[in-house]
Amino acid sequence: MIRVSDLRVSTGSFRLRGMSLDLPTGAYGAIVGPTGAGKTLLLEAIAGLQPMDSGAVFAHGEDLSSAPPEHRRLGYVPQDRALFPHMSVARNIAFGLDDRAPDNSSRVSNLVGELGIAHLVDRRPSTLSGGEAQRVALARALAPDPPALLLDEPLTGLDPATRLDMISVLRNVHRSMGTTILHVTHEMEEALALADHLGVIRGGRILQWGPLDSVYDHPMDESVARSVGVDNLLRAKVDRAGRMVAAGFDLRGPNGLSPGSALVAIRAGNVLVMSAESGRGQPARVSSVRRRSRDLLLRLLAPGEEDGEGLLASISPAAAREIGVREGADVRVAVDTEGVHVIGRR
Amino acid sequence: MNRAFRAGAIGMLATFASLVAILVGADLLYLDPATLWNEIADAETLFAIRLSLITASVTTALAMALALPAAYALSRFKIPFAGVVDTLIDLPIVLPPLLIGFSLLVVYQTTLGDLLVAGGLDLRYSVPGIVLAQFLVAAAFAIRTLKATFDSIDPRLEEVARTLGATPARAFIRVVLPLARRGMVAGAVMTWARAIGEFGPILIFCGATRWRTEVLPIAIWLDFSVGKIEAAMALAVIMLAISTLSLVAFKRLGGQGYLW
Repeated sequence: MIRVSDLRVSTGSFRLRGMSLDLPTGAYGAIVGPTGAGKTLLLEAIAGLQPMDSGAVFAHGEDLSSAPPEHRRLGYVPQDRALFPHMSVARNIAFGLDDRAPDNSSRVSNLVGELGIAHLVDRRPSTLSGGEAQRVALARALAPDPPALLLDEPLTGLDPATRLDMISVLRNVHRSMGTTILHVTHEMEEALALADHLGVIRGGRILQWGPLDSVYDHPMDESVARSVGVDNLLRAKVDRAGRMVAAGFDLRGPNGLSPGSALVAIRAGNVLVMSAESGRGQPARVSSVRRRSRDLLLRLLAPGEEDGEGLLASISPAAAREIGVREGADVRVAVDTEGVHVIGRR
Repeated sequence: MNRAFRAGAIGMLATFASLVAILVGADLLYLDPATLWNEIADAETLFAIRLSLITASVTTALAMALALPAAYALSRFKIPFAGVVDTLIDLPIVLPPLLIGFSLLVVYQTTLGDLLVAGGLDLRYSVPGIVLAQFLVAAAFAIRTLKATFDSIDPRLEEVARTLGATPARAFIRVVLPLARRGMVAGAVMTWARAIGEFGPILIFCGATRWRTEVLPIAIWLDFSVGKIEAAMALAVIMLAISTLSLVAFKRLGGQGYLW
């Protein structure tokens, strides 16, 4: 368990301003935010490496607010890994173990086996690749068997294949060791791949924190919605009959909306694109098609809304071929009612 | 234009390097090997060499013992009035050497000096006084070179060590000291070279007395002042060799920081 309560930290002109979060035992929390948002400072404060102005840090049921780093039992992997350059991989990993303990070498052997770095034990850190160094840093942090781990951008600087490997390593570690993990990153994809709790940080504040689904699907404001990668943030109008229209499309939002305007968040994956002949949904024209790594992102315009921002929809390349999607093509579109989230009323 | 700029810059560099090479060459060629050997084998010269080696080594040990924690504090901790402390540490390096010796004598004219004399610590015109005079500059120099070494070691390493259960002292011993080892040796070598070459403060504070406070630079001055040019030159060649070897060792050990 890691609990942070109204944490305030100052360093130079930057401040963490009243941060709070609660990560249950055995959970995997991710905090997403841009560079300079205060992610590293937050982890350093939790680890005891930055003095706090006020607030409290609890972990494993203890108030650690005034405990020095060596007494906190929080494994910490900094962004630059900070492996000890004068020690071999094996000695790096054994650093946090009690020198007098008889089973140190078996602990190191188990860890290097589990993380797939047994062949590296005699190497020096300067000879390791980024992915290897990250695994060694992880093994070193895990060696003293801490109840919780703090990971600062653990996948930054790795090539795509190594990132995938590391994601699976982190998943396995979390699953097999049951360690509580708090992971900060600027990549939403990492959080989605690993976390069950999500926070959004910006300007030294945690804007929203909670279980992944609640934050991801129900961002509390526009800033969080943008941070969690909502594709469509649209100004909608609600008429007297409760009908909600945005970008010219009838959205069939939640029931009981009073007339006025609202900001709605819709993920592109919640917009269903069908062939023009299907006869279902509403008519639309494809104004642009952009290829992404796994799908195509379409910008759809409603009839009579040629100058509008449109509605973004994602579709697999196979489905796009099937229904003849191309720029200028006519299609039909339906928005999943469950996927329309009202985040602000005007 | 580019070629002219490059040629001009390299030309200036070559001019100065040549100037120093001429000075060194003149010293080396002034004496024939036989005369050089005779002068070095002289009993008084051997006394000066021995006294210089002993005092410079004691000074270096004391300076490093003080500089190690002091430089670490300067590199890692937020110190009140850090700018003032920083300037005070550098002052012995930039002060005219004679002024350091003079200031030491002045201290002995104060109440503190009276207390020191009463406590049996009258170091004026004595061998321990040579160590004190060397120490003032050498310690400042050692702090500078060790601070540069500590500055080059990422503090993040100590932070990680602490999250792994190490106390600050254990993190220092297991992480910082091994990484600073080469820099410390390089710093000690240069501190020793600096101490062995000290002249001005020793002349003023300890006097120039044959067979008593006669370290190598004092011996050169004494020989030169009575016209024993061959003896002075032989000692100068020894000093030149010591300085050159120290500098080469410093560079080979990867010494960092600026040299004054």
